[in-house]
Amino acid sequence: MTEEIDDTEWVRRAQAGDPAAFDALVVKYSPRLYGLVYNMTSNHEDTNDLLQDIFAKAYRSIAGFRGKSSFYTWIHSIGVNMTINFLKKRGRRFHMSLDDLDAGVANDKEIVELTSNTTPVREADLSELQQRLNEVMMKLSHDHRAVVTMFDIQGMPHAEIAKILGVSEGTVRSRLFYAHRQLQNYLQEFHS
Amino acid sequence: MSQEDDTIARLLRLKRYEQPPPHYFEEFLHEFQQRQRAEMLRRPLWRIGLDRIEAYWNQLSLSQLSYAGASAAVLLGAAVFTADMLQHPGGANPAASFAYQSYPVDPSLSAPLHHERVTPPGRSINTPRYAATHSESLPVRQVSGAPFTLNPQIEVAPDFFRQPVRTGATHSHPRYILDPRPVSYDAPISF
Repeated sequence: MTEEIDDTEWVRRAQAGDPAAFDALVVKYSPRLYGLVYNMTSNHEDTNDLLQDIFAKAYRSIAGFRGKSSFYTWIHSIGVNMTINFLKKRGRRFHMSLDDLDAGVANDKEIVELTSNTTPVREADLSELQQRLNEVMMKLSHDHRAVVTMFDIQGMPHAEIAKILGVSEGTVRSRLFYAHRQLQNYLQEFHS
Repeated sequence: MSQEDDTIARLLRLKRYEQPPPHYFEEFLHEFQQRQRAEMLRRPLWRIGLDRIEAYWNQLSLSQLSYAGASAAVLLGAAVFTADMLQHPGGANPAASFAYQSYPVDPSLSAPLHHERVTPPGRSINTPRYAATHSESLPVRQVSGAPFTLNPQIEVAPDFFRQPVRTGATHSHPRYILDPRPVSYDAPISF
């Protein structure tokens, strides 16, 4: 709850016209929002532009933020909506611009086990798997991709995702179910 | 979670390791600040003024506004009601503007001139014999109104149809006053 109180205070100061307070919110939330947007677009440059637009919009709208939801939920809602709108405009013509895998992946036992079942763990295999994962993610619908990104990649609970998307928890679970089934079909070659 | 779901979840964990270049977020903040300043410089004066007005309205509490609105509505309603009362001292209810005449009755009002009774020629529904042999209800038609039925067991006094006296309002339903003497006071007839 300390996090919420901090956010509330930053928001109050930002609403009072303190730009440093909004900068603090940008510093705090940009890594999380970057992950959200990047995993939905699979393009670093698009993510950077969108992230700028998202924070610019949040800055312009911060005076109207009433605190009915947490700032976390509010800024994520802006992020998801703007990203989905962007993806609709972008259509199918795009190229992937993927970030490099962090060196820490070599120490993740689950990843190591997963890849060692098929081939020895090597940088080339991980890159191939990363490429394939991003390709299949792009085959999902925007709504399904958003749910998979928030639940499976960012580890958000169903209730939080439901608040961000403005849908019921049942809808979130349903979207996850169908998205996982699609991903299984696309990724069969990796775990067969 | 099924085995397949678990595998998918583990595969997707790999994407958590996709990270932007080092110092990206510091540069991002710097870029954001520059962009903010540039936007501020580019904005026309009217837009800045509009934003300030919008911010002022947003600062006003909605609950305060709703209380003020409700109070204004109550005051307005009270003012309208008072003005109406002053214009109509008898009261706002039209039904309250009727007064019914009690005994003694004005003969011109008490005569049943406005109704025609559908009875066989030469017979009167006021006689007990007629009532005993005709148990069905007899229709009585109002000249200027919808027909209704009258039970012949009820003795109808000559001043049965007594009209109410109107004092002010124009819309009313006719009301009737029965003679206070009940029918059971008639002497029984035996054959």
